[in-house]
Amino acid sequence: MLTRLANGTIIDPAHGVNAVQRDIFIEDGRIVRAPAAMRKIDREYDLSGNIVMAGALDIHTHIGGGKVNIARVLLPEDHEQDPVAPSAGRRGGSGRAVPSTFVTGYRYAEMGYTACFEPAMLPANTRQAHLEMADIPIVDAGAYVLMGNDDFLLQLMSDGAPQALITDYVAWTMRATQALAVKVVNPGGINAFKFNQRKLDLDERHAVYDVTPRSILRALCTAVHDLGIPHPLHVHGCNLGVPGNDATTLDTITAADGLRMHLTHLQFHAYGKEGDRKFSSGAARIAERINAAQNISLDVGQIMFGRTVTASGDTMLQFRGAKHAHPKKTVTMDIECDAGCGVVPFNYRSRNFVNALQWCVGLELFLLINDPWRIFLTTDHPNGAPFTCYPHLIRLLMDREYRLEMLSGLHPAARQHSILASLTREYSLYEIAILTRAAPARSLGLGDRGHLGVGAAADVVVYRKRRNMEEMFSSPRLVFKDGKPVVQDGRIIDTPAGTVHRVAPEFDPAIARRLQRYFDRYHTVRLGNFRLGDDELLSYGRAGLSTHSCLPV
Amino acid sequence: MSTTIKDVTCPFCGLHCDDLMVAMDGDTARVVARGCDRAVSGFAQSGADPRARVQGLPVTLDQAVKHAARVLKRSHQPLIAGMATDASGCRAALALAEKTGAAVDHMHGHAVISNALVVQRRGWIMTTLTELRNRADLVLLLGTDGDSVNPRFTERCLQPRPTMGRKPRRSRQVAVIGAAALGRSLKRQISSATSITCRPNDLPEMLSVLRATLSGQAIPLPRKGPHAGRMPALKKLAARLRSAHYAVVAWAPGQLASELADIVIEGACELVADLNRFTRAAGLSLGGSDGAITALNVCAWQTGYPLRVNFAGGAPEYNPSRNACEALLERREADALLWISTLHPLPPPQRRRIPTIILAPPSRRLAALAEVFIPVAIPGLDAAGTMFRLDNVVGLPLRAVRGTTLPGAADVLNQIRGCI
Ligand code: SF4
Ligand SMILES: [Zn+2]
Repeated sequence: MLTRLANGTIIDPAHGVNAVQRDIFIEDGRIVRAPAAMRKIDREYDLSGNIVMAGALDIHTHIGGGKVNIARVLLPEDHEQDPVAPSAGRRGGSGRAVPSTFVTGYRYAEMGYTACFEPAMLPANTRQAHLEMADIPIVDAGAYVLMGNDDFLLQLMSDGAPQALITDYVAWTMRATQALAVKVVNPGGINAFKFNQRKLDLDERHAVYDVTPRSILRALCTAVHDLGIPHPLHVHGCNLGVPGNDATTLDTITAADGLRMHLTHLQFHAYGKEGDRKFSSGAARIAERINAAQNISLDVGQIMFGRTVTASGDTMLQFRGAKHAHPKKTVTMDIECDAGCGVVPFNYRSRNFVNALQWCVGLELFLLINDPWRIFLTTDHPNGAPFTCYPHLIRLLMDREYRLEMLSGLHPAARQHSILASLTREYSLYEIAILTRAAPARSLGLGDRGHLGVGAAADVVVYRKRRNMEEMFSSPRLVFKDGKPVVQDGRIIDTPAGTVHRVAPEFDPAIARRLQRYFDRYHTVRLGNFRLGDDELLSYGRAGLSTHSCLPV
Repeated sequence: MSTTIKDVTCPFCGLHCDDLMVAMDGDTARVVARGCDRAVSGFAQSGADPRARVQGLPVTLDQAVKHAARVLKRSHQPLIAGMATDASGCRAALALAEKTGAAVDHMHGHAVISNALVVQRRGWIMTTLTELRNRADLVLLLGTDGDSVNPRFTERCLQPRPTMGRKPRRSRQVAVIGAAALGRSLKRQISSATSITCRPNDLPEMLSVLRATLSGQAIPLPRKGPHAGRMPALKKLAARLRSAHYAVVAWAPGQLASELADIVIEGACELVADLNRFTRAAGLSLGGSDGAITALNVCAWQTGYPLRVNFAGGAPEYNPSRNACEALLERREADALLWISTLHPLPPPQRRRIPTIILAPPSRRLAALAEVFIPVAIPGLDAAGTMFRLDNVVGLPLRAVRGTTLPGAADVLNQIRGCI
């Protein structure tokens, strides 16, 4: 079937196309060349006056796996506020801060998102993560596997194992878990917490293993680099949320030593300790440094005011943050000599100094970092806010007047501590398309997503022009997923299954023998059963597996 | 000719041991290594008489499916319970529940919900089996000996020496508080284990005295009565907990006195929280058998709630007491029951005769009980699939070690849904 999207105004930063009126043709789920004049067009949409972009990608959203499901169980009162009844062709569930799986897929698609990436899949929890994501309809998915706190790696490093062995282990783990990238959370800290170490700075030694967060970062960054994984090591650094962690972040950038590194939810890692309240914004210092460091990319993890829940692998810091829980209940888990998780419900309040300043820090980062190709739009869903607030966030970035209006409602001391009022930058639609489409797709190595060139998957979003960007981005006129119309005028009309994106790096099979000995001795799962195979993953109900190429050095 | 298959996952309790060796001889599976008695008998179940029945009479699968759909369509409040199946079975059961406006519960719903109530009240700090095996230098069992609920628990998780503690190779201390018989059976497995005897109903009191002792408050037990003489042992235990590097407090919710289960679990969680002020400790919930954890997980991700949801009003409504299987039957609120028990042919709780559809392995007894009986494959023996382990993290792959003509539960449930 040949479809023509006629007369739309195309914004496609991957090809430098900025608001050019032209037709797009779709056949067999792909964008194709303009056909010969005599070919019959089966379906035509007149998009005169509409904006056309590729489907949006969320590079960091906790949508599947253990800690998200724990957060669901923890908070029935949250779901009760937003019950979702099934309707023709649509499943029900519940929404709000941690929506159920079906609702997650629908709400993402309704905003024009066509791919979402779970950034913290524990190897031990691989099956659950992938099974949950298989119940998220429409959008594609992929997962970053959590490493850097597993006793196997820390033992290897303690024993002075060569980098090549560590690199093989990273590759083996990615294959075994069907991952797209590698994430590290509080390097070594989750493990150290199991040994009752309550704090671990970048250069602090682990209580038992001969490692530091810096040495772990270094080993994993090198592995990802050597394997040629498209996405750089995805780093949730030390000291999340701790005043003064801006210094840790600057040191972490230095620790990358020129290798590529992605700093995630940077807002939570950009706090100074200046001023009378010993809490200040470190955004300016960090932005200045990142503007000069081409090897660094980041996502912001913007917070929004209201109730949400924070779900993180960072047991050490989440345990410490439990005293701020609202309501007063938290879950902490030590997991399988592999990692852990901490779930803390939270209420961000605009009249609270710290929360208000967190909001400012995130926006400062957005506005001070110059290169839209290295910064991605996230709230670290649900940690900073549920993903459903993205249209609101886009408006804050594009509309200074609105931003100032919101700012004026904040805790007065926070306003004084922030330079936000003085920042005049307004994002353009073209830049928003970079942040939400072209840049994340490029960073993840998804060659056929995030753009509208010939050969791309036909994930296409059509917006009606509006003055209010929040309205425009909340409710696209049309969304196509792999060429199928899935959303029309803000309503779901079809719910195809998504694809899993992954990489398949090569490794020396000798690592498997070493792992076999480790598993035999320590583990409660057999090595062969630990691995999630292709057939098993497909049997969860996936449209397919899309393997992206690695370019080993 | 017989073939042997290694590293087979056992579906028959929440431990989901995945190291079994199974020999296949034609259609007969036999566990030849590392299976406990429960595994041996589970794998030995025969697949004979694979015929579906309506009112006891053999019918085709198609006829049975259509009849089941009619029963559910006619019902005002269907109940889908049992839910002893793998992840795909749970996914299909929930889709059907949503379509028919059914309530959903698991055969161990009380155990699952006892834990969930505590989580929803106060949260908790928990661990998993590999952590326990390698890190725990002290394990305190509350009202369970471990093996009676998960037969290989002590062998796989307590008998090996911990290897990853601050002082590796230090031997593990194991203690139990509960009925005298528990202490005796635990000592058969772990000769150094210690026990403090109490009646199941007294566990909450023992826990609060233990916590008070730990925090230096003196709330002694009465000198007379059933606990006379327990104080020194509790003091000693408090001292051991205090000096442990990584203590694990374990319970089996299904083995606790039913009306006190959440109180004991809450006490255990408070104890763990107290310990974490200065050392490390974590809880572990044993049991999780018959797919309880799988049902909990799938229900949570699809609806937001841990079982006991009702789709009668469209959107899932969570009510842990009202939507309990037993309560719905007792109050005569449910007027049709779909009972899923794919691991063993276990009967539904039958308070009153309402039209009942049963999905279970072949069983003449159940076939005679049900309006519609549909024999299905046993996950992990006849069919591949996934189940979640009792620690709520690890998903294990189930294999089809035996060939069968029986459909899987998910397949049947989806067919029924297709007729509605
Ligand atoms: S302990 Fe449980 S899982 Fe292990 S073999 Fe026995 S029944 Fe199967
Ligand atoms: Zn995150």
